Amino acid sequence: MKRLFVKKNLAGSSLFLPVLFILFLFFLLLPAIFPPPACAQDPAALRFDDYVLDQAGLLRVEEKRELASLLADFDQKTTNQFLVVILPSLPPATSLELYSLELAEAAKAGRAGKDNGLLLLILRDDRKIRIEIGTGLEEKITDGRAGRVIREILAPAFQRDEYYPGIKAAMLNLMNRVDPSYAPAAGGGGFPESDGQNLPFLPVLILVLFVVFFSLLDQRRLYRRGYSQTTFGPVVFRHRPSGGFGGFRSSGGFRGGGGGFRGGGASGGW
Amino acid sequence: MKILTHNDKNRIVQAIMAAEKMTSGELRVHVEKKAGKDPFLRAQEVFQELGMDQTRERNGVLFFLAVEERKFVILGDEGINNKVPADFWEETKEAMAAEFKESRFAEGLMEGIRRAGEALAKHFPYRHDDIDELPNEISIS
Repeated sequence: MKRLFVKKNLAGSSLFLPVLFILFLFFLLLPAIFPPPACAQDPAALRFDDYVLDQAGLLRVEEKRELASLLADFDQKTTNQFLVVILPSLPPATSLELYSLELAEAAKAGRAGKDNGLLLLILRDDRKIRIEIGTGLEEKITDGRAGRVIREILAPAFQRDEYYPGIKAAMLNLMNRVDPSYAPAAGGGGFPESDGQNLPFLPVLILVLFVVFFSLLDQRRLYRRGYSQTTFGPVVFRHRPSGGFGGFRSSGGFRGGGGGFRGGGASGGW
Repeated sequence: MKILTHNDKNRIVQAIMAAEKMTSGELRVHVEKKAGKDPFLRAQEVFQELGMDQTRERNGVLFFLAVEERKFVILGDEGINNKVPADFWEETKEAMAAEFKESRFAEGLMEGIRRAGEALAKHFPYRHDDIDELPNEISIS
């Protein structure tokens, strides 16, 4: 069957190459036309690669796969969904806090009803890190803990350009917080796929991601559950899942603040 | 630019201590010259810098003043915010602003502390095992 299919394609090869080229251009230009898309998958449809979305190329293919299989293993054994999203930069006209929340919502990190998701967002060019924590995990991972993971594990590693070791160490640390009995599968998960097979998989994955993203664009509003409501006064910021964040500039750009507050209040002048 | 005398500060600290006797919640006052940005956002940073987001029941309340910009913010953490009526912070703000407009800063703060203290006492009554999680002082930077 497969052979037949290939032959058919070859027969129409006068069309095949230009179409391929246009498709290639399309994908090349997509990030420029649209801001970096949300990691928007249905958890039911999550495949091992979906736990990690690296649009900034900080991870090598094997690193990404290892990380994804670690996260998948953790999900399978404990039902907690940890996601890692790496983007080149923050889209214009949004804030880190709001955007990472929207990402977490769009990706539907965590199981429905349990809200036990965690999303690590890394913005390469902005040099920003944020950890978004589902309400179901807040007791186990306090904002203080998330802040410490950023300041003490991620930021120092990133300064040394050790992205994968840093992310992996951070994830293991957080996993241990959530479920101390969890032990990662030996050898980084058994996904028996060679690099050769893996490479053509990437464009397919990207295509799937974009399709899912566009199909979710309209629905996204549904998932905005009220983490930034204006209840009183003009600038009230009130959101549920929250995390610490910090930059990872070497010149002391660490800011613990930003994510710790999730109450309400009022502001005025005199 | 000094809006609180030494005596004022003592009275405010007394008010905080009196209020905290009735509740497991935490009250703090932080005064700054300039917020330098949206005071509400700055107040959130201060909230975290002061470790106010670390209370067990998330029931810290911060009064933040940016003196030169004549702005102030009341922040109540999630625990207390979920309990009080929707207009609670706004009403407290109005009461405080009325005093502040007369340059009665200590009175305004004490009024805010009294109101927030009452709300905290109602929803988070003092427990015998309660420890004062944060220092009772006015922080100034």
